[in-house]
Amino acid sequence: MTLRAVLAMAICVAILCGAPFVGPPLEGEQGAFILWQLRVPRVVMGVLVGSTLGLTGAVYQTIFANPLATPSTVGTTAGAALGALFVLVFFPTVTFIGMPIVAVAAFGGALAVTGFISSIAASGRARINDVLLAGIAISLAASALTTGVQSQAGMGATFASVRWALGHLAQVGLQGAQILAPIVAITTIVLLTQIPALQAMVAGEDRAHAQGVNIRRVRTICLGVGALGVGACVAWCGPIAFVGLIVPHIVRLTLGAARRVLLPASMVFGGAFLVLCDTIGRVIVPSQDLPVGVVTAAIGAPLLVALIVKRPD
Amino acid sequence: MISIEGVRWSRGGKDILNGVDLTLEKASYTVVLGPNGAGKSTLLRCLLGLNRPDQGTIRVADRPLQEWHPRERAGAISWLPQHGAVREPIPVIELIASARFRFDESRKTALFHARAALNALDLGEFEDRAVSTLSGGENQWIQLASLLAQDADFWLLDEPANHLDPTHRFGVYDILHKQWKSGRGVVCVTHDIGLLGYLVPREDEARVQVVGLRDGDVVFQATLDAPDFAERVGSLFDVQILPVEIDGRRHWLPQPGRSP
Repeated sequence: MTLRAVLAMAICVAILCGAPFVGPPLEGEQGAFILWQLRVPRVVMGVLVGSTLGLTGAVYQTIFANPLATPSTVGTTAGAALGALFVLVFFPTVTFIGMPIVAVAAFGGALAVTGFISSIAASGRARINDVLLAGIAISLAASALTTGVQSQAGMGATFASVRWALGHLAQVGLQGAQILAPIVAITTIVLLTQIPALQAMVAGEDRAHAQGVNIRRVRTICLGVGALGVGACVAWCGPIAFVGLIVPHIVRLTLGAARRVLLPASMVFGGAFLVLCDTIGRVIVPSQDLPVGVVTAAIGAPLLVALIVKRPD
Repeated sequence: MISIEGVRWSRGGKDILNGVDLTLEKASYTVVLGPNGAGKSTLLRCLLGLNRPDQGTIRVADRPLQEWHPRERAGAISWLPQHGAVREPIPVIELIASARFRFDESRKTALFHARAALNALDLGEFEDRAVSTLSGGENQWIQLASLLAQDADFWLLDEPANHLDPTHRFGVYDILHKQWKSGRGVVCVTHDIGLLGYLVPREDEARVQVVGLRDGDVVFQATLDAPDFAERVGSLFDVQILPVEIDGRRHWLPQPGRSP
């Protein structure tokens, strides 16, 4: 167990250190520029976004007691994307207390959808699978609206928004990372403080209640903070799919499902996984930059199907 | 002490609990007996604050249940649900340590107490097993270890043994008896008349309170040694009950045909 954890950490570190050097060889001043101004910030972004998606994925799976619940499947991502896209197309230049309004709108969209879904979950009458179905329905509705918003935009904005909606890490630079980092830090710290309660919830929500967990409080904290982190990530990088789903499953299969392992490890693996996917996207088609969302989806979709087919209960 | 006063709970226009009055003394042994759908599980859920009564109050140590902080309440009342199997591949010791949630303690302390709970029930060998690989009976034993780790004054158990093989079944009864003897309050909910014969030896029968629940009403309250016990249980289920004594324990065998 410890050995495996150390090995996994070593692989993650190797991916992060190696990623900036993959690709055409870097030489001279231009090479240094590409390395420090383009590739390194991209790895930093990958770590921030990937770790947030991995961690919130693991938390959502616990809160909803369902291995398929993630920010993308319960609609958080779709809500964030809709909110972000709305302002990207209609108010591209507005800022809100110094922050680009797109982040605020993404958070608002994420929170609205997550709040709606969790109110369905909290009503007590809905079975947990109904919650997932509701999330999927809302995701579809949100993406229909997203398409509607796109169709109202001009040529340039439409192209930009379509590309954004694929999920990408490029061209946000270190400034982007600087704004995202504190949000990710808050999300991470708050979610990690909930580990004991989430561990108790593994035995079932009612059982955890009987063991002294304030279920409503834990749920509100985790879904609210999760929406904040996911919303911010989506605002910057678009809706990157499947990271929140696959990563916790990989951790579960390799390091176990105890929440004090699963949560931090999903965070670390998530960062490494996204950077790996982005690096693949960067070099797989020569002189083309494949959006990372395409790579994660290409790997994630078949894996999701395999997981559904293999689900034990 | 837990006092239940006029508790009424309904769902979808149907009364599940019909104004239940019941007192559970400290360190008492209570069996809530009744047919399927009598409202037994609902009563337990009300005691845990999972269902809020439409009318009536539940007091724990003279304080209304809803005024208890969740962590404090978890020190007074713990619960073994009917379907408590956990399907996650987590080690047994982690599951039991997480039952210590109410104690704001270090992980080391939690693991120490979790291990102690396992060893107290002779389950030390299960420590590193994944919970998802346990059999139904093993799982139930592990659940009892997690109740032990939670260390609440009262144990509420919902059908703790009716689907288990004899080995695991007797193991459960034995653990409950020992816990009660060491001062724990035990509340056992069941429709299984067969369970009554294994709970306690003859000399303790006078101290076990049996509550008959039907259609949301308490229809009788009697100790296990009450002279008319067989008739009361018989009329509760609308069957004949034949008391049989084997090896110093009394068993109640249901027979076809209506109670006289």
